[in-house]
Amino acid sequence: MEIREDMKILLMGNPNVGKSVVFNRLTGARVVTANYAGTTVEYTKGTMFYAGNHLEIIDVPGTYSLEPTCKAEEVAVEMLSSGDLIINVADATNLERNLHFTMELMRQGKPMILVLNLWDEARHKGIHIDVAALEKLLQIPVITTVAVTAEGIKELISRLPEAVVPSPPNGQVNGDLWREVGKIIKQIQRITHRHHTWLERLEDISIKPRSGLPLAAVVIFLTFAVIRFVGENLINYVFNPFFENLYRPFIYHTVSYAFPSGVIHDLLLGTTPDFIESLGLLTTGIYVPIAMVLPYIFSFYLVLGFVEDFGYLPRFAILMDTFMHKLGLHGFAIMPMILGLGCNVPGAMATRILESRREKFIAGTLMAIAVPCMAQTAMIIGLVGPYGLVYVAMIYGNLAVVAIVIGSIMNALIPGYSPELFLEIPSYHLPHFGTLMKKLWMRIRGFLAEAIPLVLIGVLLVNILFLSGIIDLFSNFSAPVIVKIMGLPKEAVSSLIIGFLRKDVAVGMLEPLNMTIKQLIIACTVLSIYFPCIATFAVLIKELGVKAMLKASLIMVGTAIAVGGLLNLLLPNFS
Amino acid sequence: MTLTELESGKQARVIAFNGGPNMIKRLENLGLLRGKTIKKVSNNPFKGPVVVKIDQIELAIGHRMASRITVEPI
Ligand SMILES: Nc1nc2c(ncn2[C@@H]2O[C@H](COP(=O)(O)OP(=O)(O)OP(=O)(O)O)[C@@H](O)[C@H]2O)c(=O)[nH]1
Ligand SMILES: [Mg+2]
Repeated sequence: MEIREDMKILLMGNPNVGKSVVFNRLTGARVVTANYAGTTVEYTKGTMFYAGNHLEIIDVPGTYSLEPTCKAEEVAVEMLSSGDLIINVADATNLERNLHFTMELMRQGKPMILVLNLWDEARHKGIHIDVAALEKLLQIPVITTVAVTAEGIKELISRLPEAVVPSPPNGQVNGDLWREVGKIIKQIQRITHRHHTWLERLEDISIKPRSGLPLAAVVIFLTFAVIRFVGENLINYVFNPFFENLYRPFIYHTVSYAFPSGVIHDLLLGTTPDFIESLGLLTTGIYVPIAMVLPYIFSFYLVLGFVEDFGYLPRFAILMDTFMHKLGLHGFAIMPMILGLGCNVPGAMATRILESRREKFIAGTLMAIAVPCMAQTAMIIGLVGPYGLVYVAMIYGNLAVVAIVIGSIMNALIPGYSPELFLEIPSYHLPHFGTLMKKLWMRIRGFLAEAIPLVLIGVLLVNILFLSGIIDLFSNFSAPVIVKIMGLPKEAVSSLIIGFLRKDVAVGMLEPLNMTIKQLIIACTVLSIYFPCIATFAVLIKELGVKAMLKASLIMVGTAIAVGGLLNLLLPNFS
Repeated sequence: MTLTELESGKQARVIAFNGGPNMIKRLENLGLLRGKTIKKVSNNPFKGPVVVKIDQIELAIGHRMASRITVEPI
């Protein structure tokens, strides 16, 4: 077919076949890729230049069939009608199942190209596919690629004009299609026997509960140890020295030169020399996101990226299935929680991989309540850590207990039942270094672009609230709850207000209040539970609907007050 | 016997799905078809999911769903 300006090209195929990596290659854009089904839950558009034309490339969520079974798949099927050309990406190591979807697509009357990706993996696994024969049988171009190294991508681009509308395969019912696929596979695929690799042995070890559960404990311990080690050392040896020795003298000189004193001086530098306490735009507003949070964002996404691409997460989800059922969820619902540990926004998006509304509601609410994002965690480690890591652990222990209790209550009270876990377990891959680094950079850039403006707005807002005296109004109004029930100083309310914008700034604002360690623990726990930040809130409204989100908000606020009160009653004074 | 009863490490042929069209559709979409030979990889205790291998793929199937799949050991 002729390639025209503004043509819409859809990348479609089964989950986890590398569509997003192909998309990144074609467009130079960056979307998240990972080794499990359901990484992409919303379509992404990008542009590719082809012989002087702008082509619109769309990365569609993976789907096993054109009859969707969850929201992410619905998105995929809705996209279909708008496309002018379909690049069907398939997993060469699992051709039979992938070809079934190809056949379904072939009935849609759209020009198509078939891409057999993961060609390197197929080679390793001793899978031989006769590409020329497959091309003849399907009568559409078939191209083999290794998307992570860009092998075959040039050929894919140059053969775009060869895309043709295939003649629809025989058979109307599903069973017929499978039979057709079976026939084709017999003619074109040959599998040679070979020995198990160590990765395959590791796959077995991690999936069998007897060895998998201890291994999971080791993996969790190691991930946290590495995250903390990298984060802590970056702060101590890179970021803090830079901020204290270079940044501080620089901004103090510059600002004091331009504005020796007055409102603007105070707004920019704050009124105390402490970077966290001062609440100046250039001190707190820059120091908190860059020197305190960024190192942990870096170390978290470094480790997460590796674990994601290795393919460990779905196996962990399976081991967690029995436990998650107690909370009204199935094992795969651990995915939004894990992503939420980085940032609640992608966590909330990931609830789309869940099948039922009930499950999405429970998962979204639990994540908002009990999963503090890395920005908040970094600040908690920075603030509470010096008193002893055991107190940090206590905050997370509180949140874990809250998650279990609230989850069990929701499971008991909300009508319906939890759907069953049913998922494909990807094989382990050794992550591709370049792909890992690109993903890490993309996430860091996302953090910088979204966090810094909000942090600055937050700091500005605090200044306005204090200067105008509005904060006193709030403090007095909320004193009964904050002071009487939770035992916190009434000034803590300012932190709760800013927590709507950014949790990291909110935790930082606890520092000058001179609280006891008990109060710090309560405040940090409550700060996580009472409400998600505004960005997460917006996504949750979109995913759950306004009414459900209203209910979820009531649960959050109710839980926060109850937990704050209980901790105040039960925790000793630790002195 | 059902898939949950099959011993880990054993091979079996899929005989029937005792569920509605939705369940059957979901199973078939991922490549679990009647007549296929599968190998049970593991069984999680306390009604946890069952893991099976079909051709090149591994699938995890929730306990309730697995108990509705009839297989014949070979
Ligand atoms: N070895 C190898 N790995 C690949 C190749 N293409 C993709 N991957 C890896 O396979 C995993 C899945 O890639 P994605 O691009 O996230 O897959 P997707 O099709 O977008 O998946 P969904 O968004 O879940 O539908 C990632 O870990 C990639 O790094 C390839 O050609 N060879
Ligand atoms: Mg994707």
